[in-house]
Amino acid sequence: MSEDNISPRVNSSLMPKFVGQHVRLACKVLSTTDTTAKVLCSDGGEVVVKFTGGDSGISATYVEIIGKVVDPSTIQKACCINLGPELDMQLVDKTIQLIHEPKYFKNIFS
Amino acid sequence: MSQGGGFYATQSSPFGGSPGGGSIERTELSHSIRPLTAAQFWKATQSHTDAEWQVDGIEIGQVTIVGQVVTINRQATNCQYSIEDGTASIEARHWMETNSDDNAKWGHIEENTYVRVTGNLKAFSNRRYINAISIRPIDDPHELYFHLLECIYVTMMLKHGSPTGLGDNAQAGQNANMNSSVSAYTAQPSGRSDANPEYARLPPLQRQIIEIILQRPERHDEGVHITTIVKALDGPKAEANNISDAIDHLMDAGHIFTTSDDQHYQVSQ
Repeated sequence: MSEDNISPRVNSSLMPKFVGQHVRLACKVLSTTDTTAKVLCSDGGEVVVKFTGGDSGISATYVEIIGKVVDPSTIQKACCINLGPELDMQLVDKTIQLIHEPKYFKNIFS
Repeated sequence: MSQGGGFYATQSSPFGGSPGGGSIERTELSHSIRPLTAAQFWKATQSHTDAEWQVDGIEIGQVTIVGQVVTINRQATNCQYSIEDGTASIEARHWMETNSDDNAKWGHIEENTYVRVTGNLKAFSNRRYINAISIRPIDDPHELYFHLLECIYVTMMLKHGSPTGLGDNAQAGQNANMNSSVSAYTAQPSGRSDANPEYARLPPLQRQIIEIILQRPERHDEGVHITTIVKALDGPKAEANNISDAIDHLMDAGHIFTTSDDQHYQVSQ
């Protein structure tokens, strides 16, 4: 019942492990077009976010994209949460690294 | 907080709600708030339907979860929220109160935003939900990451005890002889609080002072002299300022009072 809704928090270097799955990607929006956005991840990698025309939902500098990983550098947006004008990306990245430590991921985050 | 029980009476619900005191003996832990992820919420277990909920074998009282509001379903008597935090999906609900302006308190929750939900874990047939006491928006996204880290920290601390050598000020001396697994999130389950459960919530030094006074036969006459108390404490470990502060707090709270002069103390009972 709860298993269906797992969407782990990731940075760009974790995306290859989650191709085909839903993830949460906290990122800084660098540029947008009508159907894509280029974003900067917490570990400094760049990722392309795809969405249906005009429906980015992006209205802040920092956003969390929830979507399906298409390939290691592309994500198909399902939902966008605006996080605001400021976010400490180092903190985000450290947190993501801790979340994916096996001992924590198994007990606390899945 | 001294009395958390008030919530239980007002939050009763037709969904297997609160039994309103009576048979269940509530422990100190039922007054604590435990930060959890949604995945941990689903891992909580209960030995029988009236028993306390446990996570990793440790009783939980209220829980606090930070997650994304996916859907809101407002109904006449209650409001249900589907909440995801990346680890699982949970349901939170709150029951409409007739005598207050619910809209002012709950109306500003929107879908696709992060919120902090605090409340009690409830189960009804196969469904599990948080009976929400508070749901509020997360204005600063760092609170989300704080919560995730706090979940790790508290889970690890309850499992392995507090990290040592934190350089923690005056408390360190007072806590020196306490059980290492004691934390701010658990009421202190040390053996000696059992003797006087009404003082279990006091800081260790204040509790020690009460216990010292209670052990002295002369308290029934002129009261226990301050030097007797100081000597019975751990001596150099407990500094004069701390003792004097602790006694002031105990006096203010009405736990102790002065007798023949202001150097003799007796416990209010």
